[in-house]
This record gives sequence, structure tokens and C-alpha cells, in this order.
Amino acid sequence: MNKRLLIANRSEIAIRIIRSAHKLGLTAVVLQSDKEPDALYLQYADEIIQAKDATNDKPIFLDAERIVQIALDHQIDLIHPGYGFLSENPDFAALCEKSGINFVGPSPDLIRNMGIKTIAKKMAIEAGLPLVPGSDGAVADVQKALDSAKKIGYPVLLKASAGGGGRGMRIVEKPETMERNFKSAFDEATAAFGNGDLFVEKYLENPKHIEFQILGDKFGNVIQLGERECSLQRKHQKLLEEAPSASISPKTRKKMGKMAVKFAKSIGYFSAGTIEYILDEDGTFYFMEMNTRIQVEHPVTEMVTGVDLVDWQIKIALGQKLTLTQAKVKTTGWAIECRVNTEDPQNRFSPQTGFIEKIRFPQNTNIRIETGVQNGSVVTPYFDSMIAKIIVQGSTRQEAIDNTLEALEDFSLIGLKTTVPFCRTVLQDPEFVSARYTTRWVTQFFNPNMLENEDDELIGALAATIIYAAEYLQIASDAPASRNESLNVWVLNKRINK
Amino acid sequence: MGTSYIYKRDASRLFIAMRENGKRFKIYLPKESMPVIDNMEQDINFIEQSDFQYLFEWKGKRYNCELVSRDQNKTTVKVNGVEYKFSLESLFSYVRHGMIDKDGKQTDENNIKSPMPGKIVDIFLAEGDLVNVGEPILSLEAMKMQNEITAPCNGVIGKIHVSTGQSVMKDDLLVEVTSIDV
Amino acid sequence: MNKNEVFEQRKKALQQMEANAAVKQHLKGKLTARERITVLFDEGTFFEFDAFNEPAQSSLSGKQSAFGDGVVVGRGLIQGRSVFAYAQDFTVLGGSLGFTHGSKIAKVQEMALKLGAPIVGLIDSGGARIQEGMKSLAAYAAIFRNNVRSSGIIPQISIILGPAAGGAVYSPALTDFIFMTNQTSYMFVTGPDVVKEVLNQDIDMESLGGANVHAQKSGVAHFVYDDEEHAIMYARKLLSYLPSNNFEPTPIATNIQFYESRQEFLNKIIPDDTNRPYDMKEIINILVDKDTFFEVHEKYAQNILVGFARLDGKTIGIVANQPKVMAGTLDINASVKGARFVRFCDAFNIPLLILEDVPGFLPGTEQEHSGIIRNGAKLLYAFCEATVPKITVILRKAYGGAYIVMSSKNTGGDFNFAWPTAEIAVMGPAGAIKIVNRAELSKAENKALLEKTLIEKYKNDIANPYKSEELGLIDEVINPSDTRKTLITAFDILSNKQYSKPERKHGSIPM
Repeated sequence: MNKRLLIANRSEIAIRIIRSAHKLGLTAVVLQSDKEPDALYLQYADEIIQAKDATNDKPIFLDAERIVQIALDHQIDLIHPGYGFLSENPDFAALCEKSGINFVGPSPDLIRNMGIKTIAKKMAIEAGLPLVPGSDGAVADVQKALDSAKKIGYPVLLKASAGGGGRGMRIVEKPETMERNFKSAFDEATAAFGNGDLFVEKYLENPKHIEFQILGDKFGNVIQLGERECSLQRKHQKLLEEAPSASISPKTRKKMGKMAVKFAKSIGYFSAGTIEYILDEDGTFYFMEMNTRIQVEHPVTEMVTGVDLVDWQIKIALGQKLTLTQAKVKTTGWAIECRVNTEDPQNRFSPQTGFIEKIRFPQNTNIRIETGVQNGSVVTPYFDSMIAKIIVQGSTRQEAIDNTLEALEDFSLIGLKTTVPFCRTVLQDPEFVSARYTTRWVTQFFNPNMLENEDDELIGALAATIIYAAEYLQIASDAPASRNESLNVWVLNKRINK
Repeated sequence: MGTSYIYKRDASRLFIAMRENGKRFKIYLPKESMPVIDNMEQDINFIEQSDFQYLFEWKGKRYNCELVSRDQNKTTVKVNGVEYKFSLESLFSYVRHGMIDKDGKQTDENNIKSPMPGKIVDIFLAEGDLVNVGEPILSLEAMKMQNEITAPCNGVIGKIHVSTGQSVMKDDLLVEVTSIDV
Repeated sequence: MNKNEVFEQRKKALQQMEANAAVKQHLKGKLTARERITVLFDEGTFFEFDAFNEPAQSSLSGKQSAFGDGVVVGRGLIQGRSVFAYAQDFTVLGGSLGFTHGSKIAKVQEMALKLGAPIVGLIDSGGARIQEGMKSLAAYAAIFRNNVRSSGIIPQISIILGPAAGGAVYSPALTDFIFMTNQTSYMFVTGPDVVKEVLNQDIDMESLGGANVHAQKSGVAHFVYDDEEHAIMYARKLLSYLPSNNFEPTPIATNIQFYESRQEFLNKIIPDDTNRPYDMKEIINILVDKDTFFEVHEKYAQNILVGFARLDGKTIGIVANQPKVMAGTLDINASVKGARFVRFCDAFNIPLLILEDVPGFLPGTEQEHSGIIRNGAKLLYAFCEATVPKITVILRKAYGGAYIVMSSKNTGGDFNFAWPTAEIAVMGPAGAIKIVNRAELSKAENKALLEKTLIEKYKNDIANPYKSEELGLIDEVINPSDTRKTLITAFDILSNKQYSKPERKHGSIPM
């Protein structure tokens, strides 16, 4: 009997996993949330299990215990968590393991360790990976902070250890301003978290986000499949990714890749994973964190390497050996992924909900489309705003950029606004084209006026005029647009006699 | 009765589309040929219209337009995923708006003088009429030829200094026109 | 002077007056009275009379500059249908209403009534002509009386294109619809000067009685446009929905289009979460013929939507709760707005479509003390009184008193349909279970959990539309995407509806 794979996810990634499942001869089973009973991914599955969401905030995909119970009830062999939801929840992975279900991903311990930043960083140091220079734990007072900053080199960042969301965070440019900033950061952190502990870290003014894809099996074999650059972000949300990166030299690439493999081996990693680095202007790089799931942007790597990552993820989970060796991994050409989010780039990326009345994707041999929606789909506020991804290839970076722009021209969506015009703007921006762009591009360079275009504006003026003129000229016209019907005698009599 | 008035309901198919940032498009929609935008005929093909969208082709490219919202004469359209908001007016209502605007640019006086000596044969417009640029105002016979004197700008006819049958010398003041910048 | 000469002279004088007026008005961004008439009517169809009436005041008589006494009256065609109109001319004696001026208006009103044709007033007047004293007030009174006599017999439309102050505001107020223009039209009973004198309050014309004030706050204006041309043009559009009189059937559009592919959306348009708002206008636009919804009182009491539309070419009046604004609750303003519209439709035999999603009346001292009881009763009265075909579709919430008011079955609704998402009950689930299950709840250990299950149970067992269907209070639970089809059939069935009312002078609506 075929093995049965339950996909604990939705939308485009569910469809992506179903594709691999079918290739490997597995039966693909999906969960139907009552939040989107007509979702596109359901059409691709072999079996659909109806699952009621616990609450609006907790859809079935976040309900670990119920998913495992459903899996047991339906004789499921493997669970693929996709990305997001429970994909990096060690308790879920542990629960699967305990219930005898094969979790497609690394072991619960690996997920847990990589999920706790301090532990992950410690393990990285042990493996010899560079970390962003900083104070060893919290600094007690201004003097300690100054000492530490002197060692690191200005500018530095004061960060609340309990922190998050930018509170208790200060950039210190020079020693003279340390005292003032230390105090205000301390007060802010105390007020916000009840803990004023601060630590000092090197502040990177123009950082880039580079990540390495790795694959490891349960027999200790680990390979890396090159890097992706995901510097184009807004509030830590990636919007456009490319592979490879034009920002690193072959030498740095080799070094970063080697270190990634070394680190993964040192912790006994298996399944697909990603090692994220932060790259400074001068070319130095530091380890940030490791993701233990398949990433949204995995298709760019697949496109340039020709390796099917999800296939391998499942095969590794099934206990197969990684027969793909490092020597066999070759990257050719360039690939760019544009995320199609239903967000309004003209209005601070506010999320859009409603109907997709009509959607049209570009088609070509160098284009790959991953979509979770079709004509008539509803975008609800309950789930992520990413509805599709457009991945385009070219033999060089410039060709990839040109091809992507051409592809985006053929994309259209009636009903909602998306980030596609934003991607178009990025691809034409000199900072991006010259590969100088950093994670601060959106805050530094982007302004909604850049989305506009003179030709579009003129066509818009014409369309608006045509729409307006249709009504105006009809009212202005002297010709009768209606007729009167004669009154039925029954009605007429009653009206007269009342 | 039988009194006829010169002013007509404006069904002239000439419209002004104005963006919030003040950018203006003068759009003429002839019944059976290409639209004229800012006095230039544009080779824009209207490919199809469905419930939701208008599809144009221009300079070899396709343009997807969608009506986003309408509030009286304010129309928002989405072109290739980006919204543009326009307020629309017929030419005459636009001209009148210009006059409400106290600090509008309309105060230019344009005095039409006789280009040559001759005789006024006919006056087509009356004081207070709105005129479009190039529209004939009066007919002047000189050297056995009838010459049409046309409006130098869009605007309102002010005082008419001549009457039919009157002979005029070169540079005699004929008509005052208050221009409204369109 | 021979008779021909007089004729020529008068014609010339009129042209001179028009030219003078044009210069004055155009530079203020306004049209002249005759130009407004030209915009209103089909080309060349206006037939003017009484153009050479002289002012009653002797000092003005014989002056050619005052021919017609500041008002143009006559009849023209609007898309081929007969309509009467009067247009006040601000350039003649400030458009002030003298005896002759008033008599001309009264005459055209009487003709309109006699001939069963709508009347449009283009108003631009400084008010009563003080020099003529009580005569001018008497003229006003005659106009008001005619307004009331014509009410419910012919549609009366007022387009305010300049000032309307003092008693002059009451003629528009008595008509069915008021159009105003931004920045150039004002309406108030007492002007800024008096306000300053009596109350020592500084206020300008625009914020005292400008178009936006009347569109949003007072509800006096039904339609507001940026300029005169649009205001007058859209009055043409409004008339295209209306019959010429209360005997004539409504006009039927010849070109019928609708959003066919959007009908499916109706199945998904109501959010799962019953407390999430949605835009009722979207639903209306899908249901009715393409781009035919013409909203009345768009900016006033937005928690209820009223307006005309075409369904299969035929005019209907729509009254709908708007969940997007104040959750669609009924308050004083919404009740009054709805009631007025329902009565207009009833008077002119325009069938009513009620789209219902109403959680109830707006609670609070402000509403109670201002008389929500008295005012809510107006809407109830209007629906009960209306004898036109009435079809209600309950989309979601229909609770308690508000359910009854919105043309429920037993107030005389001809067809009452419900979508499967409807919740019909005496009160909302959260409130109901607190009363019904009080004992259980007070003893419960996990109150929140019990409440949740009770609410679910209430929604499933009591508030569902099939229960009401069984009771005959709902004629049919319909598939949302079939609504348009169902409505067309239902209105067709009802098209010959006649309903005799008991004989009486008129009812006593709680004013």
C-alpha cells in the first residue's frame, strides 16, 4: 500500500508538497479548514479531511494535538508541516514522533535548539562560525558599555536583553552619546519589559541577508546548495529573493558554504535547512540563525541547481540516503522570486481581503508559478497575505531581471491590490540592479510614488474618462433610454377608484 | 417664443481628467477614432471590456485597468496594479471651476484686435459665452475674403466692441476674452 | 411703435438681459437661469411662457431689465418626457421673490399638477422682495400650498444653485428631493448675520448651511454635486427612474445588463464571523442591473442605505441596512431617512426591496431621550402603510423589534426570503442566553465555555432561518447566488398588486 502523507498546511506550499508526494508515489492527504472550504489546494489532494478550526485565531493548522489525532485516525504515515504554522514547533514534532508518525523535518531536539537563539548561537560558536561582535551578556553600567563598545568599534547597538519590537534599542554613533542613550534605553526597557538589562552589539549600517540551503540525511551526509540573497525586506518580511547572490565573491561564497556544512554536521542536522548570515558592507559575514523548515523562497535554489528540495526532504524523512554529493551540485544561471502578497504598496502595505475576481499569471518556459488561488478565490483575514510566487530564470542576473520584468507585465489580478507593482519598481531600481541594495532599501529608498509610471497614468486617465463619459453622455443624451408600459386595467381601475 | 440660446448642454465628448497632485489630461473621445489626449491622437486600442476590467493596447504593450471606485465625478482606476485617482469634468464645468477658484490662473485678458481693415460680416457668439480655443467668434470681410476670427484661448467672451455691418481698421479692438487655462 | 417693432424690441431686450446675466454669472462660476434650463432639457425643447411679465412694484414696471420678474418658467422634455421647470434669475433683482415672480412659479406648479408632469425648481434667490411687502409673502404661501397639493401626485425636485434663505427654504423642503452644489449653494432659515446678533456666534455661510452640512448633518439635501452642471444632469438621471405622476407606471430601461459572473460571489460574501462588517453596497451592485443603483442621501445616516435601482429594467426602491456603518443598527436618523424614502416609493408605486442585516436599535440615553421610540415608529408606520410590492431578503441578522420594523412578513411583506446565513430571533444570541440560561450560567464553573456552547446551540436551534421558514415567517430560504433570479420572478408575480386601504382622509403618522 502507498504510504500516506498528511500535509499540515495550506495554499501554494500544500500544492507544492502534493506535487512531490505524487512524484514519490505517496497518497497526499490535506486538511480542510472551515475558514476556506473552497481553497485551491483541496483540488489537488487525493484525500480531504474536514477539520473544524478551534477558534478564529487558531485554525486547524496550528492545532498540534488535533492534527496528530486526525493523523492517527486516518492511518497517516508521514506529516509534512510546510512552512509557518507548526513547521518549527518542537512539541509538534515530538508529538508526531511519540505517536509513531514520521515528521518531515529534523528531530524535535534540533528544532528546539535552533529555535532558542542563545543556544543556536552557542552551538555556532562551537562550530567556529563568526557572530556579530558584542558584549558577553548584559553590561552593568555606562562604563562597561563604553568599554565594550570600544572593543567592538562604533557605531554600536544597545539592545534590551528582554527586548523585541525595537523597544529599548538605541544606535550609538560615538562615545559621547553613550550615556544619554544608555539611560533612555535602560528606562524604556525597564518600562516595557520590567528588566533594564542591556547588551552591546556591533551595528551594521548596510547589512545584507544571505542564506545557504543545506540538505542532510540521517546518516551524517550534509551538502549545501548555494546561497540566496533575501535582503529585500520590509519589517523582516521578505518580498523578493534571488539566487545566487551578486554581493559575495566566489571566495566568500566558498567560505560561507563550507561553514554552513560544518555547522550542520556539527549538530547532526538532517532534512532541509537554511543557515542565515548577515553580510556587512566590507564583506565580513556573521551567523544569524538556522531555519529548520523548507523556506518560502526554496524555488530559486531549485531553479538554479535543478534539485528538488521537497522530494529530498520527504525521501530523507523516509530514511533514504542522500545520494546527491556536493560535487554533483552545480548552479547555473540566475533566478528571482517575486512574492505576490495581497498588500497595498501604495498604502503602507496594508493587507487586502476580498475576492480575486480574475487572476492571470505569465507563462513561459523560464517561469515557475506557485499559487494557492484561482479566479473567484477569497482572501480572508485569517491567513497569511501571500497568495502566490512568481519565479523567473535567466542565464545572467541582468537577463533574469529583464525576464522577470517581462513576466510581471503579463501578471494581472482584478479585485485586490498586490505587491507585484512593488517588485516591478524594485527590479528597475539602480540600487537593486547594481546589487547594492540592503535590508534597509524599503525604509531608505522606497516611496509609493515610485510605483507610478507615466504611461500607466495616461492609460488610467483615459480609462477613468471612458468610464465617466459612458454615464455622462448617456444622461446628456436626449434619446429616451426607457419606455413606459401601459397599465394593466386591473391596476388602473383600482387606482382610479380608490 | 422661439428665442434660442447659444449655450448648449455639453455633450462634446471633451473631458478633463485631473489627478490629486494637479496633473491634468485633456481627453477627447471621438465616436469612431483614436482618443486625443492633450491634443495628440494616441494609438490606443481598446481590446476588451469585461465586468471588471478594461484592457488596452498601446505601443505594443497591454494595459490592464480596473475600476476601483466611483464617487460622483471622482474615479479611481487601477492600472497594472497601481491606483490612480482622477476627478473628471466636462470642459465647460472645468472652465467654470476655474472661475470659482479665486486664485486661478484665469485672469489673463486676451483682447482680439482686427488683423486688417475690413467689415464685420457676422458675430457668432454673445457676451458671456464660453469658447474653446480655435472656435470662430466673428467673421471679418477683407479684400473680398471672409476671414474667421477665432478664440486665442479657452475662456469667456467679455465685451464685444463691434456689431454686424461695422467697418473696422487694423488693430481696432474687436472682442475681449477672459482666458481660462485648461 | 407698431406691433412688429415691439416684438423685435422685446426680443432684443431679452437677449441683452441674457448677455448681461452671462457675464455676471459666469465669472462667479455659475450659469444663468436660461443656461440652466438648457442643461436640464433636451435640446431645443424648452417652451417658455410669461417671459415679459412685469414686476408688480410700480417703480420697476416698464423697465426692460426686469422682464419676467427674475424667474424663467416653462416646459421642456427630458429624454422625451414632459417636465415643467422654473429657474430663478439672480441677475434680475437678486432673484428676489416678488408677487409676479411668485405667481409665475405658482402657475407653472398648477400646470404641472394639472398635466401630471414632474416639476423641477432651479433655485437661486435672495429671498422675499422686501419692497413688495406682504404681497411677496402671499406669493410664497401660494407656492408652499401648491407644493403640498402636488406632493405624492407628481415628483417635485429642487435644485439649489445659490442662496435660499428664510421662508424660501420651505418650498424646497416640501419637495421630494433637494440637490445642492458645493460652495455655491446655501440653505438656512436665519443667516449668519442673525446668528451673530442673537447668539453672538461667528459662523460663515458654508458651515451654517452649505451643501456638506445639509448632506451629512441635517439630511436636508439628498444629493450634493461639485458643480451646477452635474447637479442638473443628475436630476435628469433621477427623473429617468421615476414615473411622471402617481398613475403612470415606472419607466422600463431598454438596455439590461448585469454582473453575471459576480452572482457566485454572493455565496461567500457574508463573513463567517457574524460580527465582521461587509459592504452592503457591493451586494446591491451585484443584485441589480449593472451600474443602476442611484443612492439617495448618500452621506446622511449611512447605517441605512436607500436609493433607486433597476431590476430587469424596472425601477425599484431599495432600503438596506449597512453593516459597515454602526453595524447597521437603526437610530433616529436612519429611521427617518428610511421612512421618508419608503413613503415616496409608495406614493409613486415604486416596488420596494428590503435587504436586511440589522442587529437592533441603537441603545443609549442620547437616542432614547431624543425620541427613538417616536422616530423608529415612523419607519414602522411607513412600511406597514406601504401598499406597493414589498420583498425582504434577510442576509444575516434580524433581531427583535428591528426585525419587525424592516418589513417583516406580518407587517405586510409580500415575499420574505432569507439566505442560509440568516439569524432570525427575538434577540441576539449573547443577550438571549443570559436570560434563558441564567440559572445554568450562574452555577457554571467555566462560564465562558458554557456561554460559547450555549451561543452555538442558540444559533443552530433557534436563530436559524429554517425555523422561521417552518413557521411561515420566511417564504423561502434561498441560495444567495439565485437571489437576483428569485427577485425578478417575485417582483413579476407582484406586478399587478393592488391593495385596498380603509377609507380615511389620511393616517396620523407619528411626526
